[in-house]
Amino acid sequence: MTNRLLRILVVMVFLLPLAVLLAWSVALRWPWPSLLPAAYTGRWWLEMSTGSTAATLGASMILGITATLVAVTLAVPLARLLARQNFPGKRLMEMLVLAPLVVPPLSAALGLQEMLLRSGLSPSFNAVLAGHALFILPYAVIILREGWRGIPQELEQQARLLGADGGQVFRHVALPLLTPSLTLAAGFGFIVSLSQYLPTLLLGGGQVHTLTTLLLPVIRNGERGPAAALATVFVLAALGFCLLLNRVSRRVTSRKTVAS
Amino acid sequence: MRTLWWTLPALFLLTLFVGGQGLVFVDGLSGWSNIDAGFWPALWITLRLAFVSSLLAVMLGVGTAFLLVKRRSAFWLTVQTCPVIIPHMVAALLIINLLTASGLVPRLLYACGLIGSMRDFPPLLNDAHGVGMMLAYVWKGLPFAALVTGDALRRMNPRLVDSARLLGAGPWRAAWEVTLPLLRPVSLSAFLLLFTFAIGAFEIPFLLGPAEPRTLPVLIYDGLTNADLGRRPAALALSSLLALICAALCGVGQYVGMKGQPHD
Repeated sequence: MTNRLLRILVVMVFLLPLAVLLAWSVALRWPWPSLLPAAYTGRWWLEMSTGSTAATLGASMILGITATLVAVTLAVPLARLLARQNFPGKRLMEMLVLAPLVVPPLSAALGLQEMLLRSGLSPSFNAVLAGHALFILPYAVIILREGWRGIPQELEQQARLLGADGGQVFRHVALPLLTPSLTLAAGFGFIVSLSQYLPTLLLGGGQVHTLTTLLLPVIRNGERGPAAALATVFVLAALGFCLLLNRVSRRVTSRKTVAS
Repeated sequence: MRTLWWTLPALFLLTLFVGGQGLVFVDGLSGWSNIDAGFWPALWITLRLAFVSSLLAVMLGVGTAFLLVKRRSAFWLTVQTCPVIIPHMVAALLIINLLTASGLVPRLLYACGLIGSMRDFPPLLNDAHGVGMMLAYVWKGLPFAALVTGDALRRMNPRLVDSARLLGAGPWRAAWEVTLPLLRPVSLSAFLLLFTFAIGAFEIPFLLGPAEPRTLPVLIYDGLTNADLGRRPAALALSSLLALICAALCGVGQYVGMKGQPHD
């Protein structure tokens, strides 16, 4: 009984704030001290789906997808190396991979900005893209390294014995088995890109606008409705990722039970 | 070994990153003599806030893990995973919606007759104690701690607790003397990870923190965005210091985590 009450409390603590957010995103007026909005509106959602806000949202999506593609592509071979090989300096390489996670976002973004300015480049969309890809990379390598560890090397050797070259082995043997990890890495990568604030600000020189650079000033100005509507996008993205996670983990478990 | 070539783009990008940190360090060398007077209070509030909120998050997280140890459904996984993924900025907004003078919590208290008006509710946001910031960190950190310690709980050998029970220990004593000590390494590394993230976080103190004392990242940010470009080196110097603190903490966390690998 106590456990049940406590579990309800857990759900309340996590879901109540999200419910309040959702309510604010459709509230026109919500005067003190009523517990529910006095008048509802679709205005904040409509504003978000038209004009410059919609364009910024679109840019965020494109940035997120591109940065994820770049990061995941770069991570696949590196993850394989770290999963399969032992070599001197491996610990150092692992530390190098984790560096963008370990260094706090402000210091990390500042370092990249210094690098950019020192090499004579100016802040741009591409600089932001490279920055995002870099911050996705550690997560992608960690997830894909687990994926590579789950692929029996004997399968690849068999394919080679049957005459497949390296590219064919990768395409027809490794890639299908790597798909769950790739999906997970891509989903997580997209969310990482969507959540970046300081790197976007510092590498974009204030010219590249994304969901976060739009949202922060709105929160700071206390515009409850617009802030809530914009923030809901993050909540939906997080929920979408959870769905993905559940599906992928269920698929992997069912495959394991078939194999054993 | 041909596959080694394919790792070079990723390694190049990572090297650029480390190089950037090197540049920040070098360019910040001239700033050390010029550090803002607000540095010591900033360091103190940053560490204190990160320590208290991470400790709370881990303690409550372990409790939640015990509570949910048998709940493996998609629903419970989602409830715990969402706050981990939702960005700090949004966590700050959620806390604002709940705890400003016109937020939902004062409204609920008013509805229950516990406060007479908005003004009776203490200011918890942008206050010197950092209550709002702390709650935002705990809201995000608790589920993370619950997830990792819950995972360790399920991997634990159930016979250990059974033996303790057979030897006459009650359920609370078995949890206290068998399960909790076994969870110590994983909780400690979760704590260090949350502590590191909280020290380096920017959005939560920027949105929920008081004007003074600012946390270290906000202090650095203000130095960078100041019209006076002469303040940049000092901000770079502090940024290097911040990165160094976080790297050292992660090193300790890794060491603790490795020592605590479950081997049964």
